[in-house]
Parts: sequence; structure tokens; C-alpha cells
Amino acid sequence: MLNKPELLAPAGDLERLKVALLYGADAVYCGGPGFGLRANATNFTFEELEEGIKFAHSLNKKVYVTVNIVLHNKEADTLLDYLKQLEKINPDAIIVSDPYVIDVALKETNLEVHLSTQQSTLNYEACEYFYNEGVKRIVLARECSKEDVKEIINKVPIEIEVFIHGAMCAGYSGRCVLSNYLTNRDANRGGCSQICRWDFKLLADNEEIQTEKDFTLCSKDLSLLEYIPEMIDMGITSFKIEGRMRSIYYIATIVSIYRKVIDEYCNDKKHYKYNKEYERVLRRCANRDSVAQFFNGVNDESCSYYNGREEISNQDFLGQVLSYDSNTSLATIEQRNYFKKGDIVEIFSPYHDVITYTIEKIYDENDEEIDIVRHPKQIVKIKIDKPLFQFDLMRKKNIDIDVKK
Amino acid sequence: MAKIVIIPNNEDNLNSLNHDILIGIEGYSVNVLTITFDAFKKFLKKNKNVFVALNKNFTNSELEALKEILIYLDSQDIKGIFYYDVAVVNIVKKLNLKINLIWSAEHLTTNYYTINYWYNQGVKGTFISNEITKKEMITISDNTESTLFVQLFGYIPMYVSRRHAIRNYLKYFNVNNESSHYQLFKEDKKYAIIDNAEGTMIYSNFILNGLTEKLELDDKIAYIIINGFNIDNDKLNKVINYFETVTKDNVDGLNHQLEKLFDNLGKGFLYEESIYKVKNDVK
Repeated sequence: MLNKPELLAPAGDLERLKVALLYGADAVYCGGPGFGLRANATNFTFEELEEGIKFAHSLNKKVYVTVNIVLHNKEADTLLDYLKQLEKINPDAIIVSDPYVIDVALKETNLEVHLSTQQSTLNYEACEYFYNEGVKRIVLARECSKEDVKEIINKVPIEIEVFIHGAMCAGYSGRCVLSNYLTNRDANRGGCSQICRWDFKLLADNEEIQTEKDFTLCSKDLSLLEYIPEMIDMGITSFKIEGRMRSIYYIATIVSIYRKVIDEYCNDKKHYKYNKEYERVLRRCANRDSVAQFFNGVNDESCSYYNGREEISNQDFLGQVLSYDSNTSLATIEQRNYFKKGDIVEIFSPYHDVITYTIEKIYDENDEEIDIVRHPKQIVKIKIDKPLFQFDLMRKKNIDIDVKK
Repeated sequence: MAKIVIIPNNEDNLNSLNHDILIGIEGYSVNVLTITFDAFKKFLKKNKNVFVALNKNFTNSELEALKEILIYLDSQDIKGIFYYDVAVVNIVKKLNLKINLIWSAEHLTTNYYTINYWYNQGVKGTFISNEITKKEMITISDNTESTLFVQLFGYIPMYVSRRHAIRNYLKYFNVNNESSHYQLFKEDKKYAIIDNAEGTMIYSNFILNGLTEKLELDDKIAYIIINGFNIDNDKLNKVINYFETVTKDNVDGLNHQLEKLFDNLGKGFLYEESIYKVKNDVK
């Protein structure tokens, strides 16, 4: 059997941390109460981080904490105290972009340090520099091609982490401050307002270029699903999924699909066959098109959105199982999207195979039978003979999907 | 008093300036005027006050050539190399080159702790970010031995991408356009955008005018950079003259002259901190 790479998932909060790990991630990354690049995400308190780390370690899995802000003078003043507090709760590593933070962490704490993609590391010389500084792992720039990655792995004995799925920055990470200048929100301190997704008129010599759609810097998402076997053979240490602000449904779906592909290939390389159905599920879950981006050395119009807003709001996620009563065969569900009696749904889980099921009876919180569940976060019970578990998720049965979409 | 460094706008401008200049080499530089390596070598024979920007993000395939250029530059009498990619530091260290390095990571050079980290690594200069306040610049200066550079005039680089945003857009919509002067336009503001061999770069819609601030930063900053990008030569020469002659007594008058020359002057973040948390943590 091949050595399995780590599958690394985002965790915006404690619930998503647990979901990611239960659905097959080997490790998660999350932001603590400070110094992270998702200042407007919920992020973790120290207490929640500690709970999450204990939960992960109980499963023999890992938690990495982002400390990847670009420091200003006043933030740097409080850095050491923050790192010392983090050290006490025993994360498996911190993810850092600023070399000063690396220096302090390695000299003053026992924290393992990973270099953030915010450094936009593209080459083996830069990797070697950070390796010599004591960095354990480098998250490579998303602009790297597979040839770049191979050469780095061949030349520098450092762990390499590569993004495999999720949203892309249009510019080099760290080299875009459009958000600062257009909205006064600091991109390199977690305030990015995603100007790259705005529309602009494009002028040439002061004349507007007339096309069907306005200009945008907007990039399609990244998906390297079909390249996972090749990437495993390359010896990449960790496969990273982007999206700390994504839903538990998104995380559970993406993680479970990549988990399957990694396991299927590593467990039986000889008979491995790419399963197009997995791609279909990923596509269904995403709200934007995805491509391999720079991985194949392609840097053309196929990587970008130019045809207006094609983002779709996914309403497949119907509810989350909170508990199951085996005496009454009733599952308690928290609603996420409209569903009704008679709907054919799928329940997927870290604990059992997908269950396809027609909803027969629904009860509200007063045990009154109802036909429709239309209120967000409404708590209802459904009758189902097969036992369900906390963190099982209910989705629409995707019987109407066109694979060629 | 701070010295002036000019980023020229074009080759005419480059050859007529009698100042410290910052230029790039084709294939190795972004956000500055670039010339071919051969042209650069010729230029260097006549000019001794040259800083070189080798400030793009390098891929593996470019490293050998980068090494050769660094070795060449080390043998020449240049004033320093502005770098973004840490690969430059690694190569210089491994080859034991004595060249003067200036940390020029644009938007990341925002605190004196990291500046001092690089200083202790042998990087003796820093090009300070334009996304910090004047007060923060002064604090940095008070807490570092690093030779500081800051842009106080000109359009500000806001964005570098490996993608070819314009080329791809035009190709997608099958539009033929050979303009050399593109701009993004939104809400009455125009932003210069360049798509060249290195990818895409975007500049601010306003010209930073730090003439007044130069007086306050004169003994805090070693080099003040005037960025000539998109500024015509006559105007640029006037700007340089104003920066060289400004005093407490004439600053208001010179600012008035600048306002007559340009209708889009601004102060950027010199007095305004950008925010990064737009809502209170609910916890």
C-alpha cells in the first residue's frame, strides 16, 4: 500500500472542525482569536481551539492554527504572548507567513511552523531558505505547476503542502491590496473584500472596449480531483482544501470525496479507476466552475470567469441530523433548505453508506405531523427505520444532474 | 536629508535623469520600468547611481538565469537590489555575494520587527509599504538600523498577478485591441492596468502626494522614491524639482503647483489606517 498523503480541511468553527475530521480529513486548519487571515470569519476562542485540538487528537488527527497575518508594529508587540498561549493548548503546528513570526515561534516556543501560501513560494531556492530557517512544511503558491512542485520536492527535503480544491486568489497572495484601496479593508490582515470578483469597464486609450460582459479579474475555482493519483506519486505531503468560511455540508462533501479517491488509489493502485461520479458530486456542491488552474502549466482564459456572475446558490443541503431515537425510529433534524413529505433524499454520513430514502412522516417540535419544512434552522423529526447519527447530513437526491454540464 | 530615487517612466526619461534611479531588467522585474539585460549593461557603464529591482516571483526555471544576473551585478558598482522573492536572499547567501539587498515585498513591509529580522539576515535596506500610516513609518524608523525607502509620489502598485487578465479577456470575447494604455473604470475612477510578459499589474487611481510629509520624514527615511509611472517627462521633472527644493516656507506654494499639474492627488494611507475587521467578534 502507498503512503497516504494528509488530507487537510478548513475549519471555520468547532462544528466544522468536527465535521471535517469525522468525514475523513486527517487534519484541519483554523484561525485562533488573533493574527489570522480570516478576520471576518467567526474564528475560535482559545477554549474552543483547545476543545478542537483534544477532539482531533482523540482521533489521532491534527490541528494547525493560522498565524498568517501581515504584522503591523502594534500587532507585533503582542505576538509572543499570543504564541505562548497557543503553545499551551498544543496545536500540531502554526501556519505563518511573516518571517519574524517564524523566528519568534522557533526561538521562543516549541511550536512547529508551516509557511503559509501568503508567501507565494514558487521555487526551490525560497523553499531551501525557509527549510534552513527551521520551517517544517511549506504551503506552495497556487501558481505552481506540477513540474514546479516535482522539482521542489526533488531538491529540498521539506514537507510540501499543495492546494487541491477551492477558491483561488486572482493575484499572487500577498501582492494584492485592491481591497485596501477600493474598500479600505486590509487584504493582508484578513479583511479582503474580494475586489477580484467585481465587474469593471475596460478602457483602451480612454475608450470603453465593447464586449458582451464587463471585465473582471475573477478566477474559477480549483479542483485537482482527477490528478490526485499523480500528486500522490509525486510525494506531496499534504493536500489542502480551501474554504474556512464554507458550510458544514460543503466541507463534509468535499472531504468525503477526496478521502475516497485517496483511499481507493493508495489501497489498490493497480486497479484504481477515476470515478466520474465523484466529480459530479463535487460540481454539484460548488457554487462556481472549477478547473486545474496552474497545475498543468495552463494560464489562459479557461481559468477565469468572463461571462458574468455564474455563481449559483446551492440548495441541495436539506438538514443536519442532531440525534436519533432508536426506540421511536425518529431522527431529529435541523433544517437548512426547504423539503417536504414525499421528497426522495440521501443521507450521508461518516458512519454508514449513503441511504436513499423517501420522506414519509415529518413532525414539528410539538410532535404535530406536518407536510413541509420551510423555516431555516427549524427543528423537526422524521421517521426512518435505519439508525442515523449526529453529524449525518441530508441532501437532495441528485437524480437530475447532467454529467456533462 | 533624504535622497531622492526616481522610478523612470520611459527610456527617454531614464537617460535624461541625473539622479539615483530604480529600474528593472526584462524578465526579472515588475512595477518598474524594465530594459533588456544587454541595454542594462550598457546603461550601467554610463551611470553609477542605479538600484535594480529583481522583484518578481520566480519559478524554478528562472533561477539559473537569476543567479547569473546576481553574480554579474555583484561585480558591478550598483547601489542595491530590490527583491520580493526570498530566492534572491538564498542565492546571495549561498554564493557569498556582497551585494546590497533591499527587502521590497511591497505590501508586506509593514513593521520594524520583520524589517529587523531581515536586517539581521544581512538585508540592510527596506522599501516600506504604502499601506501604513506616516506615524507607523516614523515608528519603524525609530526602531531599526535598516536603510529605509518609501514612495512619496506617484501612482501606487496595488496588484501583481501571474495571470494575463487583459489578454485572456480579449481572447475570450474575440476582440482585437493593440492598445498600450489600458485602464479599469468603476464609479468614476480609473486604474491603470498592465498585462505584459510577467502577468498583470494594477495601479492606484490617484497619485500619492507626500511632498508635505517629505519634510517630516526627511530625517527618518534615507531614500524617498518618486514613481514616474504614467507621468509625462516634463511634469516628472517638475515634481523632482519640487521634492528637491521643498522647505517649510515654500511647501504650500509647491503643493499648489502640484495641484495645478495633477487633478488626482491623494494621501493614500499616510493618515488613514485600513481596517481589517468589519464586525465585532460575536464571542
